[in-house]
Amino acid sequence: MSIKVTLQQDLVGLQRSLLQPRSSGPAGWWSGFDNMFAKQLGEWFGTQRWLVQSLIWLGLINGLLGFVLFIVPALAGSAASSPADTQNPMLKGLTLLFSFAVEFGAIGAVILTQDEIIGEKQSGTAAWILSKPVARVAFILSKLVSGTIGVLVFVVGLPAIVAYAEIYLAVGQAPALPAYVAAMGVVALGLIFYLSLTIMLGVLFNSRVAVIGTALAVFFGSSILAEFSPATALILPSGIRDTATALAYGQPLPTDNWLMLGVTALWAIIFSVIAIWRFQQQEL
Amino acid sequence: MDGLTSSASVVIHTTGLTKAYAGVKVLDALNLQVPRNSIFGFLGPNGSGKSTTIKLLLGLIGPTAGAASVFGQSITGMSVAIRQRVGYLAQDPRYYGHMTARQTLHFTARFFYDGPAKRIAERVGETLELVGLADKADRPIRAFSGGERQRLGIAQAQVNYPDLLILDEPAAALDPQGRHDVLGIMERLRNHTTIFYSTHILEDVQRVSDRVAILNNGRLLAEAPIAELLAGKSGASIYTLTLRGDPDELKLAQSSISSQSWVSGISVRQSGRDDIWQVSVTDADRAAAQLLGLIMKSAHITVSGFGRKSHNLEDVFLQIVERSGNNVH
Repeated sequence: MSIKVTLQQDLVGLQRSLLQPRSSGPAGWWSGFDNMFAKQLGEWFGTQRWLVQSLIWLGLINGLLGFVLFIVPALAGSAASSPADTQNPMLKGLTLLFSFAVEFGAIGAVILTQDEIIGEKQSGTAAWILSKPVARVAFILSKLVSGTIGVLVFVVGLPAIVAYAEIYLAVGQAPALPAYVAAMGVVALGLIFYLSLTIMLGVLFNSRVAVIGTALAVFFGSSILAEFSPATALILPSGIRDTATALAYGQPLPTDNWLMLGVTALWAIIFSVIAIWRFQQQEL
Repeated sequence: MDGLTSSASVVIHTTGLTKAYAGVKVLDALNLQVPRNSIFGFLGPNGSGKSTTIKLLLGLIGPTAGAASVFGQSITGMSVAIRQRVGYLAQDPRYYGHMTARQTLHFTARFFYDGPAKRIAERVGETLELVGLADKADRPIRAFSGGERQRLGIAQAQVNYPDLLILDEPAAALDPQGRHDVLGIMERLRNHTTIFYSTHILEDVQRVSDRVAILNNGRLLAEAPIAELLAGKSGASIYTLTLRGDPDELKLAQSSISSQSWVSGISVRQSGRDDIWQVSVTDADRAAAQLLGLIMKSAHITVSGFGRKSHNLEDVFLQIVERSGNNVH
């Protein structure tokens, strides 16, 4: 071996030694999670996406709530009272808020996460990432956790803060804060259900249509099924809106609602476990 | 085995590695050993199983049968640990289009290194320089051409100073200048890494490889140091003679040569007034010593050209693939 080659190798070795290797274990399931997670969060908060998402959800949830709470009564003026006007203003405000948050939020969670897995599989970026020291569990978890944070901030958190002020201004009284936060937690749980379902479907299917179609079928189907068979309301999150409204209004929750919340959380865990399990077996 | 029996000197070791889809074998019992610090060319026509082998080594797909290890670690159980020491360039590399080249390399480096940030940034800068993308470092990748993406692919594959560089058709999408540059980069990297690369561009293999494996229809047809493959491992060779003379004398000489035990065939063609003979022999040494003497026995034959035909890899490749009874797709 020539002196030149030896010197070159020494130089490379020296340059390499100046870098601090990752300390994660040789085959840890979390390997690569922090870098993937930082990249995922960067896509939510490091680009203009945060502005776009803020405007969309503030417009959809708070814009519509404001329209119903402030504009509609002003337009109605001194016209004869409709039956809705006889409803408690606080209950009316909370019902509207949680209707918008759950209905739009669930569809939004599906749309926002439908491309997370399937897009990476189809574009080839998943294969690229997984050619690096990234565990498949870490890959899916980074999607689940970052997606949950994004949805909770833009679809739940931000509109919830503004809606609190809107209800206070419209009704002249603010909802009890702990109950309001707990109710938003219920909404968040419902959205996490749809988010984890969509991520799982992204792992199982190779078609965006199949992913969106199945997730929306679960969303609309659960409401329809609950009409015909109240028992299904226990195993599907069709009662999230009413549960959140009741909780925010300070009403005690029947056991069935608590059961439904527990089952919804269980579903979200099952979807996540299936997504991780199936993704570990997939060929990229 | 060329001294490959020591596990420390072997980077990739496969034993009966097989991959089948719906019962159809795309890789059939591959036995391969890639020596440390070699440039190992993995040759084969499209669909021969090259990319499948690479994906198996990286854990992107799982084997149907057989086993393989990289750095002595099993590809099925220790894939993440293996990938810590590997750099990989895919055949059609894809990255996040919204990221710039610099961001992509920084993101890649972060899978391997915790810091320091300044040194990581320097390393990213070095790799951008190496592949000639320094002036385009801050442009989003979605605007990159195929060649630029390929260069970025090489940069991201070696940003972590890999002990093993796996390149799947690294020069296929490049123009001649780009190909030249990529081969130059490979030659520069050979001193401190092992390079395992697949290609169907035989000229490139002949230029940079130490060792070659030829794959067709999922089966390994040959594996040898390139010099050995080009020389003909069995001693088989072809001699070309340019002759002129009496046709009857030429016929006699032809039958005399054909009767030699070390001659496997003679093909004759006319070129003006000359006969061009191609004599295939099984023992090149005996041919070198005796062939010309047999011709010169006749005083009525003039020899104006005599030489051993030099093989190029394309000849060898086609011979091997045709001998295997399969056509190149």
